[in-house]
Amino acid sequence: MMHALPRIQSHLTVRTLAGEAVVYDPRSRATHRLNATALTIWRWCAEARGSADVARRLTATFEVDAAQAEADVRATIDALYERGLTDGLLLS
Amino acid sequence: MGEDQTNPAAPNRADGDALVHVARYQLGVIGLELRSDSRRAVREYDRYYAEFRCASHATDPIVVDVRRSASRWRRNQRFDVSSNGRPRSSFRSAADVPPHVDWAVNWAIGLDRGEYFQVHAAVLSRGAHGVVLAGASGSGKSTLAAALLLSGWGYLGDEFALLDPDDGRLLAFPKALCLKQPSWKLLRSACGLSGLRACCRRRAEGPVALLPARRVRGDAIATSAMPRLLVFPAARTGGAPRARPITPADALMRLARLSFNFFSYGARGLEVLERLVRSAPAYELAAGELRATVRLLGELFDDALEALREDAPMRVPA
Repeated sequence: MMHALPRIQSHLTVRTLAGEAVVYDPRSRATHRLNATALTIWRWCAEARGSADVARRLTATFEVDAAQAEADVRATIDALYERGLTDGLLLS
Repeated sequence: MGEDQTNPAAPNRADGDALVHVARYQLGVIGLELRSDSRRAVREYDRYYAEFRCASHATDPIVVDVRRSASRWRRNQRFDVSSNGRPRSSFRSAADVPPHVDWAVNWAIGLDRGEYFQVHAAVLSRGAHGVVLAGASGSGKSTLAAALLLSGWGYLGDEFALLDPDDGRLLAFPKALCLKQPSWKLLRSACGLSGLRACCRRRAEGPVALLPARRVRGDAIATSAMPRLLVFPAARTGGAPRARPITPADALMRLARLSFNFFSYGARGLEVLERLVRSAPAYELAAGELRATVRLLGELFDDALEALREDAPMRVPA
């Protein structure tokens, strides 16, 4: 099922380091580390057409089946939202 | 009203009618003006820091006041320490002056020296290259720093990695190493260091000794270094030391947590740390037997310098 993707918060500072990223949020003054998978999903949030598109890209890039990819996308987007890195959860 | 910086016994009138003894020190990039109504207090500090006396400071100094309470009875005397006007600690024995002044200076650096990006770390060097041993209290960084110092490394400090935010250089604040009692025996057996004795007892940590780096080696103190190796030690005694490489992002997160002023730097702090983790490989170190740990750190350092040489652009012969 296609869900609209949340948007990445625009006020964040991001540094990419050897395939991972550190994100600094000046509002909460918190730093967050994104591993390679989370960074990939986070970036795709900005360009993919919906969650199914992100899951499809994930399946094509990493060795995961479709169900696992969808679960990973949902879990990652939930975690990104909890940390204040996106403006919402997956929208139906 | 002249102030005599070379003779702590020479008093000056300041702060009302109190007789004040003033002594000035330059510890790397940190200037200290120690003021006290007790000649003994200055003398006690000089036991560890006389070599750092100076006539004037390059930059605004941190001002530490040590006031003795007015009591006719020596056993009731009390010393109150403040740094840059903020009360810090109180204690009874003049022999406790040096560590209490050190801790007051540490506080003032954390609060008032925002021009340096600060990480809780010991810093040592070989030539122009530095290793940062970053960790919270109890991680064993001072013990490792002492062992490296005794093995011939240069010393920049055991409490702060002070980074120039513009060029990423590590700058010296070579205060005396503060060693807790459990490390005395380790340093004696592994490095032959003897003669450490308690100069103060901290409630949480027990007796501590101060070890001035210049008493170990006259040329021990370095002025600055470029960071080439980042190590996050965890204290262990005995056994073989183990080092595990960690990713630059992991290192950056750890350094941000160990920084005293990351948040006041904001996004610029991220830039400073990004440059740091890009310039030096990072390891988590499970320290073991002290001599073996020093050897391992030397090998990691040599590897880091070798990698740096391989990355350097080839020089074309003239």
